[in-house]
Amino acid sequence: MSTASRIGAYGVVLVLVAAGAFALGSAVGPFDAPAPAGETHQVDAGHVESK
Amino acid sequence: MTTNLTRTAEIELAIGGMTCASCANRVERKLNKLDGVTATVNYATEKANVVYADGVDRATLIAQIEAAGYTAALPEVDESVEHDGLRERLVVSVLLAIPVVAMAMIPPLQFTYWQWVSLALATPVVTWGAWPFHRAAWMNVRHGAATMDTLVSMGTLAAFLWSLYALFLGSAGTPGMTHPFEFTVARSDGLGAIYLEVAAGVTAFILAGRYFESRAKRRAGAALRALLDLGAKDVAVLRDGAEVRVPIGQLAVGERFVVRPGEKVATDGVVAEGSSAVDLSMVTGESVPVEVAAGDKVVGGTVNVGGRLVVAATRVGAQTQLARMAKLVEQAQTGKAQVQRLADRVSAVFVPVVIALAVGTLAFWLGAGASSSMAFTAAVAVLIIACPCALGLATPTALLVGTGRGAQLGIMIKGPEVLESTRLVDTVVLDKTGTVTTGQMSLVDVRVADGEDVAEVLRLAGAVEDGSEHPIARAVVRGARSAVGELPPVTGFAAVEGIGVRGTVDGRVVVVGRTSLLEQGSPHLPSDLFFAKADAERRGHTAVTVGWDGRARAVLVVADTVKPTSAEAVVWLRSLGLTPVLLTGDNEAVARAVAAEVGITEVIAEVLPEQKVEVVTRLQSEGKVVAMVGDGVNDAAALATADLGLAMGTGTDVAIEASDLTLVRGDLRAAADAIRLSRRTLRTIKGNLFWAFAYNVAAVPLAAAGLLNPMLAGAAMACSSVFVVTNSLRLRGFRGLA
Repeated sequence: MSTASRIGAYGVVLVLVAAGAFALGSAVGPFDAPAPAGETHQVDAGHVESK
Repeated sequence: MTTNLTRTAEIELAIGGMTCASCANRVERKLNKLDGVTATVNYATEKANVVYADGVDRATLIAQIEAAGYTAALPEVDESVEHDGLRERLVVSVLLAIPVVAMAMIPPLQFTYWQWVSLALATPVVTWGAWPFHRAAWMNVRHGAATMDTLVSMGTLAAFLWSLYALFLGSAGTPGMTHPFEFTVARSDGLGAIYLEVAAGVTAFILAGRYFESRAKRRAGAALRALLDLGAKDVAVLRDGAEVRVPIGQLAVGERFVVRPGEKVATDGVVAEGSSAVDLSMVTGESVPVEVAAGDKVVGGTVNVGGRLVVAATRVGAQTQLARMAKLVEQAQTGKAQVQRLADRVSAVFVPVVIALAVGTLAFWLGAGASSSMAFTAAVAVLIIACPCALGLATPTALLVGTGRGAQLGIMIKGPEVLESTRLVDTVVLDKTGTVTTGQMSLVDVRVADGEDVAEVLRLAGAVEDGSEHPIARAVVRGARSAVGELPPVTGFAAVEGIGVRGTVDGRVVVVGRTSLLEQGSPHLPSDLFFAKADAERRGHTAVTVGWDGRARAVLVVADTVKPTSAEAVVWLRSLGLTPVLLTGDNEAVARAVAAEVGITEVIAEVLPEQKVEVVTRLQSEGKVVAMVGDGVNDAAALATADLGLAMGTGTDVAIEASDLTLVRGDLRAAADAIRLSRRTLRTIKGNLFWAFAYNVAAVPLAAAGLLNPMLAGAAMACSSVFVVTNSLRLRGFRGLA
């Protein structure tokens, strides 16, 4: 299998994965994203703004 | 390909830019695509051996390699280039990465603008420090392949570019931003978090791993240098009846040269005058020196242990047996099968899967109606977390600890990459002389005629032999001394070249040597001694006759003795599931006797040095994974050919250089330990790789869910690294059997 056809095949797989994931997301969504997961954390809970 | 009419040339090219065994395979394939070119590329030595037909020139070869994205040049060994500035990259990256990681993980260190200082420190690490990974990754992409470099480059660039985005376009650049020290999971758009510590930390860790690995790479050239050093440097040529000392290179075929006792035979030839004993062990592995006289062939590099010889040169330079052996070693090392690093094999599957996961994550969140920023954050987080920091440590730490423990046990592991590549060795080929046996002659039996006293025989024979330097005489003297103590003085000592010695002890004229010497005074060997001598010779031993006052008094049996630990070692090797095979240049009878003594059933005897390689290759072609244990120059090529080459530390430099492991004490039991240690090291490497990936893979679902934060990424990095290092350190507890 040549390099080009290998990369091409992988590209096809990626497109299929993307399409499948998109369809799955559409089916199970929408989520309240971004949304708080803890009690006190805000949207950007990964950090805290300065005082 | 080439025909008989096509002339071929051969060159060696130094290849640059190879980062793994698959690179070597790629270069090899590329070269072999050219008509009339046969190439083998060795990743370890970074050299390509190319045989090419007349129509091809060197520029074409170099261009072909460069087209594949690598560099090629005629080899000029420059040790500093070999590391590709790796040490500088490592030192600078580690110094810069430490504060970046510390600031990200320890909130009190997060002063105002710390994130910008982090960026300043991490930028050179990710760009310049990780450059070899990016370059290799790009080369891999061009060939549609993925290796560990791809994973590292992808992970560090994703973390770095995301951090740039968050700092410049998100809220992470706000003065006073901090990373809280908490591991709670919360979904965010990620624009407030930076992952510079992941980018810098991973780079520093992987560079450290690479550096240790590159230091461990074998120096293939050393075996050849040691081999060629064995040859004589100059030679006493007879020109116009006078001796002229000239450099060996000036010796021509047909010229006569002189070899004095103790000197090396300068080149292959035929004895023209004189008789002597020549130590051929280098070439044949035969432990007993061979008597040579006019008309006999001698081999260059062997040592004249007896009298003066005049030899007519029959082969010089590259045609000699020594040069041909050097060629064999070289071919074995260059042609050694390339084995991909385990980490690369895992990465080849892992990288495409991770990219697919990232793409899937992005598409999923977009499909679910999340903001593009959130979807993108989650997708990048997958790429960031997927690159295990400990990946770079998995192999080198296990190898470092394994080699360190080996050194303590007297096992010097010279080519540690072999441990990684060695699959389960199932056959162990043991060279006889010097490996299973001591390689030294010793007195093993004394048979005396009726009425003679053993002690008296040894006292007189030992005294006479004390005047000779012949290895058999030395064995008799050692045996006599240990049995009767001090030996009496000798008068009128005379050595009869190639036959034996004569001298007067306590007023008796004692002769020790071949029966023919004795028969000058006494034509008949008594029947009991005759049978004793025949019996010894049948078993492959050497028998010398002792006589005085015109009568044969005893037969002394001298042999290369089996090491006391060899039989135990064979039992251990068997218990490891290995099939021992005895390989020797000696005759079948000797080989069978030794094999029986140590418990080996499979024997391959009367094998010439060149054929030793063939034996190993044949076993390999039968699907066996072969370890070879040897000590002599004649074993060097076979050691290099075997999947795992083990040299006795008591053996020659050539064998040691050609092997992967050296058993320092020369005790065969250490071979069993070496194999156990290599298996254990390999197991540790596999365990390390599993856990290096496991911690990060466990965090991938969090990343895909958009729940990753810098503390979690850091925790995965720290946990997997600590685990890998601790797991490797367990190898220190390895206990040897010997």
